[in-house]
Amino acid sequence: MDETELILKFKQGDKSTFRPLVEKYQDSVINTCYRFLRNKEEAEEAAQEVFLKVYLSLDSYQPKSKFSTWLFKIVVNFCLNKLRDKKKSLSFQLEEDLPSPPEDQPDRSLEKEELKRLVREAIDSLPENQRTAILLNKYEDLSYQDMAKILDCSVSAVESRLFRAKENLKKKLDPYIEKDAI
Amino acid sequence: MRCRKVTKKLSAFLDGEAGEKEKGRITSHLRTCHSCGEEAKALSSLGSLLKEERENIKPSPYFWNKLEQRIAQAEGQQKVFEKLLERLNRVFVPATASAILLIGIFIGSQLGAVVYSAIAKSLNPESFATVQMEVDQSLHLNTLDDFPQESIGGVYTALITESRSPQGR
Repeated sequence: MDETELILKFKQGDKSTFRPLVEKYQDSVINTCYRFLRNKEEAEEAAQEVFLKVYLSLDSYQPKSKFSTWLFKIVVNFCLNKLRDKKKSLSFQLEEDLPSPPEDQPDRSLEKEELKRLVREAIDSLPENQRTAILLNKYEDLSYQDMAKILDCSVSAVESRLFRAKENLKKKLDPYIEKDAI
Repeated sequence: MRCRKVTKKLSAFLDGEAGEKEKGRITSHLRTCHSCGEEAKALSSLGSLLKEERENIKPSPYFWNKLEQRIAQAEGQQKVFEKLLERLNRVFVPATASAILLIGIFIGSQLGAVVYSAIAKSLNPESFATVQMEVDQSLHLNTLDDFPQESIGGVYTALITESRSPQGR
């Protein structure tokens, strides 16, 4: 049964169709939550809350947009509200907090974990709207149009946020970016 | 296409989001402009770096079971709330309707009396007292008047007043 049929049957009262929907999206929802919240337990808890919200409001879902767009809108709004409530300092780390690269040759033989940490910190230091745009574009592989629907903005606003986010990330991760790639 | 414009569009171009005309212009520009070419390489490398360092976690094996319990709990709470709302509606709606009706009747009668008095006074001031008496009678306000002296009620009231006065005791 495809997604549309599952949703239709759910609206007609067959609540058992909710499980296959959850199984289809649980990995991406949990991982999106993890990228925002940076904690596995919180990410799973947030994903549970998101799916509960979806269950209780699926009857009001109108297929004007894709189900995944509607779902990710709930995910993003939930995670951003959670972060704002917690007032995590991850979102607004200052540039100075990142370790400065050695002046001569950038050390390209960094441990993988250390590089992961640096990338994570660089993303977390972005302003909220730029971070959200990067997470959705690079980690969820969403199109600009889908992102615009999720973020309630225009496609050119998405473009602008991604441009500024990448400019900021390039500055922070410059020593670790290969210049001769493509 | 100028470098400044190309630089701004490079991100969308590399993400495959540029329109066909734009793609063509950017591609020809990149062939001839060394600095924009370097910028494109750096952006592409950044994209690869971000994707390579992507962390993925697996959901716990009990994810669905926990969610199922949460759903059952939420549905139970919703049913209790709906029952409470139904009970309130059974009492509240008729009570509100009755109150509105009574208030409406009262306001209507007061308004009617005022309007009637005003019209009567403006037309014939001498018969205003007669009109006022008619209004009082229609609202049964005359029941608050004292009994006429010769009536049984008047005699009874006089007897009670006398018995209560210091001279009557």
